[in-house]
Amino acid sequence: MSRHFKKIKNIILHKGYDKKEIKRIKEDIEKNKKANVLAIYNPECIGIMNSTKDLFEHNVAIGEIFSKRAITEIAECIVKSNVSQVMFASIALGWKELAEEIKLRNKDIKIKFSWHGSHAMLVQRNETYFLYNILELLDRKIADSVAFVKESMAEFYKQKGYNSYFLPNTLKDLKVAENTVNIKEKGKINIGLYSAGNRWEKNTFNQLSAISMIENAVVDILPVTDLVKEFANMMNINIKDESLGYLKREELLARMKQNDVNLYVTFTECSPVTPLESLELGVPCITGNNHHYFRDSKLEEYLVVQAEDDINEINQKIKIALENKEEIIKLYKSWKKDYDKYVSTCLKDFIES
Amino acid sequence: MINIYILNSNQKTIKEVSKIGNINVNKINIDECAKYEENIKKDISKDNKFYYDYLRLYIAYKNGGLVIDGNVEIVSSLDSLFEDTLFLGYNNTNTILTNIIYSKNKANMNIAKILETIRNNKKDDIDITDIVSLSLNINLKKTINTTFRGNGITIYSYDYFYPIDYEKNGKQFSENTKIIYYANDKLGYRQKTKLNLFKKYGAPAAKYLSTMFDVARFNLARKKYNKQLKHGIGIDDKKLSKRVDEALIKLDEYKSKKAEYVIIHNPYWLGVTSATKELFTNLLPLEELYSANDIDRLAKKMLECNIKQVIFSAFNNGWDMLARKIKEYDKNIKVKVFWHGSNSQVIEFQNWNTNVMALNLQKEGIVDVFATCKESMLNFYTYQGYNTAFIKNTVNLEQELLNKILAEKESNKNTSEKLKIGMYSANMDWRKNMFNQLTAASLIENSEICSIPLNFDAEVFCSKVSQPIDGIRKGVPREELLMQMAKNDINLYVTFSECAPMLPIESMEVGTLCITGDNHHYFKDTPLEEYLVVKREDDVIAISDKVKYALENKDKIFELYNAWKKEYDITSKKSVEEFLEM
Repeated sequence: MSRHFKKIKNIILHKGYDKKEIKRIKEDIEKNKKANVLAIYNPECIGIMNSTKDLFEHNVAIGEIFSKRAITEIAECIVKSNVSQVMFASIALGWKELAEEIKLRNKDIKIKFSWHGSHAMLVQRNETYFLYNILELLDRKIADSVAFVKESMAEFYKQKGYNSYFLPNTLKDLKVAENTVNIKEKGKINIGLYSAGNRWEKNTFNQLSAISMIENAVVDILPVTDLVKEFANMMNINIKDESLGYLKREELLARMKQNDVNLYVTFTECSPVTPLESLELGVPCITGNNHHYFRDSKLEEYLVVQAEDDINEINQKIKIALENKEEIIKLYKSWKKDYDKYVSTCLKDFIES
Repeated sequence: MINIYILNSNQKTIKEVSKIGNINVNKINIDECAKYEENIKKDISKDNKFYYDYLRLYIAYKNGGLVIDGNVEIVSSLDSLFEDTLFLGYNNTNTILTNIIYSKNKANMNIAKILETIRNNKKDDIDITDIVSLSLNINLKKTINTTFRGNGITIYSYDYFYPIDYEKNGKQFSENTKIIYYANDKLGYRQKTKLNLFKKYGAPAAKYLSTMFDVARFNLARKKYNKQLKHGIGIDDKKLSKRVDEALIKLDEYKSKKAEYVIIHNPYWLGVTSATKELFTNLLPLEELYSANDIDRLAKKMLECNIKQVIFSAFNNGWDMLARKIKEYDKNIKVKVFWHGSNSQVIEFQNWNTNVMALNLQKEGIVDVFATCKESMLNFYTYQGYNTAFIKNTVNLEQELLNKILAEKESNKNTSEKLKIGMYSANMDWRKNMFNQLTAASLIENSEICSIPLNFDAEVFCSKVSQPIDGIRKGVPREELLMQMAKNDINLYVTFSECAPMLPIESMEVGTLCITGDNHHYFKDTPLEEYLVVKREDDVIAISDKVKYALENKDKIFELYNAWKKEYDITSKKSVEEFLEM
């Protein structure tokens, strides 16, 4: 049953109050009693979930909340658990009311939000709606501060007078699935292109075009949409597995690890995890210039494409990365150490805000 | 204890209002109302369009407390609102109503000012929103339904009190909805459904259900539209045939001129049309073709006119059949395509559909040359085995037009203290990168944005970040657009993906700086690139820094631009000549 159908059924039959789920949430909150920061994430947003778990020790999964009763019960439970701060990782339906309820019951609990989008994504009206909700909560002093995962957004809202922080993503231990299929094709250039699909920001077709100009290349791409298949067919691009469906993170990482290079040259990002995952696995990853990683370093020269819609530049960067793989990974390891220190400082600043 | 004054309300409303704790309800009956009306008689005539606004405000002024005129339903606690000194509410994106007023105390000075403005008003063409704006020295029409707090008043967004979408403009209930005001108008089916969903399931669930419904509706509509486009369902045959008749007449003209080639373009694709006009002569406006008879008439006429080459500027449905027919009649006629798209646009159904059509024609040997105006696509197509060329777009305005624009620019020099920033073709299309540009402009002190067409979402966003924005709601003819561009201090065109955009060159030609993204070939490896090209289109700080840098170096930039343009035009001309010779 699709998750949307489940949700609609829950709304109609139980007015949005899922007894089992609320019980589970309350138990999870109980487990995090007296936490300094309780982070709340939506388990449907995989990327945000992973980065929240990596940054915050105490966290609870709460999806969209559709019933007033559920909001009240969760708010009461959070207040009783004596946490000092509640950090909402992004925002979902019902969370605005939850924040209000918590503040109403105990104004000493600090309410914080993180925003994982970019201004470019505001063309999706839901994104605008949610960002405006957070700004409104800040204006009304219900939210105490906001962290942006995109550096330039953090700076913008700071300049606009908001209590705004930069909270970059990083990676902790990566779990890679064992005993997975061997996808490496010998004698070929194995290229990975994940989280692609037909969404504009993923820039799939410029990346595929660049791959088409690499001699002897095969691409492991996910998801394989009809349009991707049609394009690959038209441009003579070899896709490894056209029937590849949804994969767990561990399985995806196991595939990613077997490539010679991975591509993530998207149009807009905040602090993308895929390039870090790839590099952690020892595989260079080419990206767009829409994040803060590697800025003004040699790695930027190797890995960052300046013009994301320039097929030639992506193609050139793939070749350079293939030729300098060892040096890139060496440089990355050293960069990552300093970077993690920087992330810790940013996190500390946000928590202390 | 809050005093509540209720006018013109039914019993249900009185019962509803009693839900608010710690209150004293005063139902103002006809007799009591008459007393108030007697008091205001000397101030305002009953014919005055603000009479009832005045009456409600007067009651709030005299007594303090909450005044409700009409039928309402209380949805959630009003406690947080009672902390305000004075509040009113928007009922629409740029209008407010006085049916719900709260004043913490009697004799509120702001209400006194509003009453005074009504008394002194002589104008007919203003409404209560203007009256409140004038009284309190704020512009509520520009804040676009953003809750306004300041000057001792709060104006809540429409979802607080007036969420029912009587105006059918997409108003929604939200988590903020405290009171539902019922006007006397009848509700349509969609409005009724929205209300019932909200009342039954609450704001988050109602929002979720209505989003799901909208997504399903949008997907169905898109599929239907794509199908119609592909198969020509619902097209106006007569209109298309008329266009073919006009094309045949045009071809006769070209015959008498002994034209060697014609270039076909869709006149409704404005960007493609102006790029084509700048580079080529012998333009042949044509829309999509679905009739075999029309296609045959056109192909025969081209033969009769002794045309040596037929060029398609972009590609449209049915043009493939015309290309085939031409080759069928005379395989010596060269058929070429001048493609204006990039591979970023593969995700757009019609773009990809026509791209495939044109590429397949070359594979079949019907199309001889497939040219692109995006430099970085050249290698790609060559690698794919296509016979390809790179054509460099340019802009050369007619001297008379340019003189007119520059004269107008001189006489309308921006003398205001505000820096004028132009944004054109900015909309919710992802490629246009509207929000990053708006945010960047809002970081430029004392600036105002002029946008054509003025996008509603842009206005709302600007109201949230307190950035002035103005413009014209609909598109304007090119000449007017150029005039507007010329009047600004700087124009922004920092988009995500382009081929060879006309707008930056148009802007520079009319003497206004233009900042762009790094998705075209202009200024490459020249100092101008550093001045005008943003490398990180997704970075608001990078865009605003570039704006400041360009403004500081305006004279130098134009000196460099003029030299660059001279050289560039030579290469542009050469690229067209080479394409025609292929």
